[in-house]
Amino acid sequence: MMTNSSNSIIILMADDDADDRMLAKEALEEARLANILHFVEDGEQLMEYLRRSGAYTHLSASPLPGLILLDLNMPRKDGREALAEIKSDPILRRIPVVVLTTSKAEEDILRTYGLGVNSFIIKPVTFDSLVNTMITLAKYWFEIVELPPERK
Amino acid sequence: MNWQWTPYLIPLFITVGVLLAAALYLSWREQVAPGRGAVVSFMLANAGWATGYIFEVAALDLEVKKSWAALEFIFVTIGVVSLFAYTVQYTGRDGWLTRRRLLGLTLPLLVITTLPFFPQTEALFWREFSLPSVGGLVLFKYEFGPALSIYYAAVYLLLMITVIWLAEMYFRSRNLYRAQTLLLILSVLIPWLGSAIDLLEIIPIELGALSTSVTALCVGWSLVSFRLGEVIPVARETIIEVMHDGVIVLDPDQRIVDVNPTARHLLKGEMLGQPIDQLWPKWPVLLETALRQAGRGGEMRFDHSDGRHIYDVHISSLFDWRDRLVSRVVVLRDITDRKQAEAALRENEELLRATFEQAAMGIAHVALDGRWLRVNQRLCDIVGYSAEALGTLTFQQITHPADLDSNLGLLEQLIAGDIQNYSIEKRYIHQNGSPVWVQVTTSLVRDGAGQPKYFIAVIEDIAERKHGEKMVQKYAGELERSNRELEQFAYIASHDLKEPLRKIQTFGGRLEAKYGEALGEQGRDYLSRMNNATVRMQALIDGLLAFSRITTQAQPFALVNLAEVLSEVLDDLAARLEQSGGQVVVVGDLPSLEADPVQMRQLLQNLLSNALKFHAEAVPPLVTVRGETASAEGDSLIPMCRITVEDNGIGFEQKDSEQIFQVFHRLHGRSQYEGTGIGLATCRKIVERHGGTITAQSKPGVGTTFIITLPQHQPIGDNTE
Repeated sequence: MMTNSSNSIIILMADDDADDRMLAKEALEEARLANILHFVEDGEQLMEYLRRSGAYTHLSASPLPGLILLDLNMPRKDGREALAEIKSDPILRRIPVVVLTTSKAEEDILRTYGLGVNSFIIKPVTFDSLVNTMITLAKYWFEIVELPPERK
Repeated sequence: MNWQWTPYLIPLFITVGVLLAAALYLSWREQVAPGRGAVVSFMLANAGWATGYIFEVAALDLEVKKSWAALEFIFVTIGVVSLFAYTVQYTGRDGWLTRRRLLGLTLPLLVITTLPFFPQTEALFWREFSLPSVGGLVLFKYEFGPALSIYYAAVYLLLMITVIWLAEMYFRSRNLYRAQTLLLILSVLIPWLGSAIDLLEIIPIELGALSTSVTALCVGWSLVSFRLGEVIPVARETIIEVMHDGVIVLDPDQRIVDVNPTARHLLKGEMLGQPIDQLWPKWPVLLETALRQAGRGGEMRFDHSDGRHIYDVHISSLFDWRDRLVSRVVVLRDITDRKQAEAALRENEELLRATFEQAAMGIAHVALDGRWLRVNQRLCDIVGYSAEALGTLTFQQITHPADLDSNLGLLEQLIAGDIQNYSIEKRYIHQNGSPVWVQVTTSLVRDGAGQPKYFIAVIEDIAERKHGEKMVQKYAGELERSNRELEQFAYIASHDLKEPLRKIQTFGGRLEAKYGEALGEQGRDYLSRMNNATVRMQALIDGLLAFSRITTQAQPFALVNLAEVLSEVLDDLAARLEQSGGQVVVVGDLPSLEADPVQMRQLLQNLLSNALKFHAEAVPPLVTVRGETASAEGDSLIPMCRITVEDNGIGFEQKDSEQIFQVFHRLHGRSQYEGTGIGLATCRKIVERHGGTITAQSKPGVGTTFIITLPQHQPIGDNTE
């Protein structure tokens, strides 16, 4: 069973593909995980969300997400750029980032690990495996791993 | 001891003195003339004789006179034999006069002259001594013993032979030597005369010693004074005799008076006495020409056993001291070899000239300062200047400025000897101003002392080659661009095409999972077909991507052991093998060859996978893989390997054997056997990239054999990246 604290952990997903967002939401539901899932559609939105700027100033009182699922190929600002920015920000870089992408390119894997990503996962093909991935992610990051304490 | 004096002794003293001086002089002379030894010996013997006679006359005592007289005979012997020896050499009979013979001549005579020294034998030599007084002078007289008579006979005999030989020489020799020979004859006769006078006792004093001394001096004179005596006539004779050239001596009436052996051979006979114009009708022409051209008369031909020889005719005229024609000497020199050499040289020159002129490449001789010394027509054609025009130019003047410096640098190296030759591509400026690309190979000719003389340059017009190179570069560039575009396209296509496919699959799965019940059986069936279609499409896209990557992601060739590759592939296919109950047998050794390791694996994987896949239902697949080296094929002469993959599968009609290698071509429906239809197309592309071939032989229901040939070595520099 999830603890109260883990239930309230926010997962932030950055992905430009509407289908993928929908599937992720469904997978999370299917996995019966009670985490709140927030979406942003590109790198710009992602940074604004994290910095509580632009359209997201209302969130300034809310806690930061406990996990970021990041797609690499996004318009306006792609995941690689955003990743670099996140990991260079002293506060934001504490948030674990898991890259969830269709790209198998080795260069991407190397570069993102080089930039400090915590994990690199290739988007599962079938829905079932997507569900399993979500469960595993949640279990790993929220139950097994100790996250840094919340900060504003 | 008593002595008497008489004025007769004075000439004798003088004689001795002169003889000794002459002998000394002759011995000291630098030039050694044959016979000198004999002459010196003759002189000394005569001096001895004269000295002996002086004492004989001066003495008053019989015994003393006798002793001296006996001594004289010894000197006489030596003298006579010396004179004889000289004559022998003078007349060229050296071979006859060996040491043994000389000794054989001298010894008996010497023996006889020792007789008077022993009382027992004295009588044989002489007897009845008396000391008559004649005109106040006491003389020594005696009667001849038998030995002495023999002695005298022998001596006269020798003298006679000497005279005969000299006489023969006189008649035989050329005019020049006749005077000398005559003198010698006379001088030899003198002792005879003297001796005769003595015997006849015309005057009291014996003239023997005196007269013979005259002989000695004449002989000495003949040796020294006649300038021709630097080489004795005999030596000259010898030269003439052995000369390779023919010598014919003519008298003033153009008659042949002497021929040397070579001339004898050429004239086929001695022809002595014959007028030469009878033998040679051309004679007047030859003579006239020779008189005009300082002896050079012309050429004549004589037949030898080995063919016709050409002789050069040289005619000299000899005049006496009164400018009268004494003789003509014709010298024939064999110039056949020279003529042949000249002909060969001309031919050689002609050959060189022809090669130079008619070569398909430009050839030039260039001076060290760059001037064109000699050019052939082809070069003129290449640069558009005539040979005369080029003669006024240097190569620097018609070289493209951009190419000039490196060209000059290489020439300097050539002159310094750092390099033996060089070959460069450069541009000349054609007469019409346009640049002409040429390949110039230059070397340096040095003289005997190693000093540079001139350059030889061979010039090839490479305009076409340059153009070809440019084309190739252009095509290579385009090809590379095309490949890159293809790769990009393939990557993007596969990536972006697969994305929606994935979505279809995923949502299809969701649909089935969430609403499968509501869909009903048919609905679920539709969904399942959709799903299958997307799976197929993904496989097709993957197959196409792999196909395109055969060229765009080709790896460099390395040494690949096919046996190892096969065992790896079999490991991969282990599951399928088990599943189908199949068996793979390897016969022979799979060779090692230069190839792309990854592609070799792809190739074998595809082939074996096929072989295992296309089997009849109840028949477990049996695949035989054979490897062997084959002989070189085609133009390249590179050794090949041949691999055959034989199966006992369902086979196909031989008429389809080419079509199966086409992309997406399938012989069977999907329901029978799965597959994208790219496998064999991939195999063919791989094999062709390596420069090999792949063909199929099949019979339906029996099986299929794929035959692959691959070269063992790849051409260098042909690796695509």
